[in-house]
Parts: sequence; structure tokens; C-alpha cells
Amino acid sequence: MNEVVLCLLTALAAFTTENLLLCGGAGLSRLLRTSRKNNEPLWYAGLVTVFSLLTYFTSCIIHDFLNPLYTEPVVLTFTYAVSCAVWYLLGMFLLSAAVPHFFQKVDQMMPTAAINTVVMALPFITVMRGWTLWQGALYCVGSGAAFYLAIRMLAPVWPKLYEKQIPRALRGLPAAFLFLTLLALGLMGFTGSTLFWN
Amino acid sequence: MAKSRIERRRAQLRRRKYWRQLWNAFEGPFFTRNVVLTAGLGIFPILAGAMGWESAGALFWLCVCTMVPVCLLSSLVGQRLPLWMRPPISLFVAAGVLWLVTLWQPWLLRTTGAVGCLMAVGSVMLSHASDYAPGHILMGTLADSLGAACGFGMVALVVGGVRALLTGSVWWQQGDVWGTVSTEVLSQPFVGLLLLGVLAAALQKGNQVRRKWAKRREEP
Repeated sequence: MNEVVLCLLTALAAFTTENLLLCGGAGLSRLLRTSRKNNEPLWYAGLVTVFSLLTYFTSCIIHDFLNPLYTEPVVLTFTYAVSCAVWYLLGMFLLSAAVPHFFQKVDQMMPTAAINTVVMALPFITVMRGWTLWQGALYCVGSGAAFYLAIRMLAPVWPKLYEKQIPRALRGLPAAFLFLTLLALGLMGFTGSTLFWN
Repeated sequence: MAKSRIERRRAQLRRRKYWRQLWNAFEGPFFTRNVVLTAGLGIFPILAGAMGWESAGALFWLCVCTMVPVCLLSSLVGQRLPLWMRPPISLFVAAGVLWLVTLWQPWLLRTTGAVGCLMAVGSVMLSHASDYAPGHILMGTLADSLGAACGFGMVALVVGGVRALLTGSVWWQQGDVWGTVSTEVLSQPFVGLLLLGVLAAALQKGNQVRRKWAKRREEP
């Protein structure tokens, strides 16, 4: 029972205090690009979640073989990069062969959804935090959901960031950075940090 | 005689055009179309890794060491690969190059840690190695990748430097010399995003002014 509650709390933390995008900063480049294009955010976030889970589970299996050399960040990166690349290629082959209609819908977004910082950072975090297998898996799912939520929040804002009321120098990406600053600052409130010296 | 003079002049113009194109390939991602401030790439390493001069400098050097070889290799063989194969191959090569760089300069990963690793296989490298490099000549790719790495490094150094100054560290004197904001707060991503927003706005303003001046110069 405790394990289940812990896993659910980890998934909840992926949304709030441990939000990988806004509290950790990972995957913001992808978020900015995906939210601007705004094509099928659900499929994109779903693919990110699936590839995160696949890379995470593969990293857990490899972990048992490579210990203790595995703890070196460069070895971790290499194994995650290889598993990321292999899962992407397998995904391309399987989807194009088994569900060609679905593949046509997602083939443009596959490279960026499968190979990105979020997918590579999630196994890193689970190793650093020493989480259990299911805790890590639910963190991946929670992060995927947070990614979807962030796209849905940012996508309708983009056109407004180019409006005439905004000074010319701030239009577009600078305003998007400031918008993300406010979101990150809001989420920081959940952690209970103070801004200045007490 | 006259013909050879014309040919010499043509060759001179060709050379000048070639160097101008190379300069544009370098200067674009470095400054006017900065890889972070206008393209929005490589945000994570700056938010999570550029905490001071030292870490920002290490990120910059690591970016140069890993990105340039991957882009050059991609320029040589990239066009023979189908589009969908380029990102995973670039990723695999970058991870390998990162391993070699760590053997050569171990202090880089000691300083940057996991953020450095993720930067080496992140969006700056992937975008330039799998999108730009395959369709361009070796020298153009060299200029572009160096420009992107320097542009990324410049932003990392500015953000890291401002963070270090705000905590009160002035080069050799670490810690709270006269800082008013705690290190814990300055290491938060929102501070980095705020600085990136201000820098991006400053660059956009600079580009607008530059375009205005260029327009005025063209008018009789």
C-alpha cells in the first residue's frame, strides 16, 4: 500500500514541485517548438512518454549488468543514447509496418519526440534519486503528462506574444521566456523557498 | 592580357563571396541569429548548468569539443543517410565523442556533471548535426558549428557570470562578498529564464536597430 501511495505521489510531484520542464528546465527547447507548431500535442506528449518509459526500462536492465561502472555520467549518457536511438529505429520500423496510417500521422514528430533531453534526463533523475522501478516509471508518466499540459498552456499564448501592445523588442521568443519565467516562479511556490536572505 | 585581368578580378570576387558566406555561417548562430536567444535551442544546460564562470566556461568548451567533430562527420557522410536516420546516428556519434572528450579532458565532466552530458547530446548538437551539416560543405559546417558553439558559450558565460555576481562571487572570491540573492534561489530555472528573456529582448532590439541603419544607408 505504501509503495502505491509513494508511486502516486511521485507522479503528482512530476506535475508540481519536481516538474522536469519548469522546475528542472529540461526539454524547454522542444516545448517552445512543439507549442508553436501546435500539431497534435497529445500524440507528441504520448510519444515522449512512451520513449521515456522504454529508455528508462532499458536503462534499468542495463544497470544490473554494468554496475559499478554504470554510475559514471559519461557511461550513463552513452547507454541512454544507444537505447534511445535503438528504440527510435525500432519504433519507426514497427509503426511503419504495423500501423501505416498512424505512422503517417506521427512520422514527422517521431525524431524529436524520441530523441530529446526529457527522454535522456528521466533515467538520470531516477538513478540520482535512487527511486524504485515503479516510482521511476510513474515519474516518466507524470513528466509526459506535464509536457502535454505545458504545450496546451503555451500554444494559445504564442499568437498573443506577437500583439502590438507588446514592445517590439519583446515580441516572440523574449516574451515566451518571460511567460515561462512566471510559470516556473509559480511552481517554485510549491517548494516553499524564499527569494531573499531572511 | 585583358582577359586574364577579368579572370583575376572574377576569382577575387569569388574568394570574397566565399569568405563572406563563411563569415555569415559563423556570425549568424553566434550573434545575430543566436542559437539560444533567437532559435531557442540549448536552454536546459544554461538554466541548469551555467551557475558561475567556471561551470559556464566548462560548458562552452565541452560544446566546442563535442559539437564540432559531430557536425564535421555529419557533413561528410550525412547526405548518404536518409533523413530519418540522421538524428539517431548523430546522437550515437555525439555520445561516443563525449566519451573520448572525457578521456582527454576529464575536468570538463567533473565541473559540469550530468548537465554537460545532456548538453553534448542535446538540441543544439542535434539541430546543427542532423539538419544543417548534411547539406553543406565542410568549411561551411565548421563555421556554422563553431558559431553555434560560441553563441551558446557566450550566452552561458553571460548567464553564469550574472548569477555569480548576484551571489557575490567575484572571480576568485567565492561566496557572499556583497551578494543579496541566495545561491539556492539563483540556481532556480526561473532566474535563468528571466535572464534569457532580457538577453533575447536586447538582441532583438539590437537587430532591429541594425536593420534600420542598413536601410538608411541603402537609401540615397
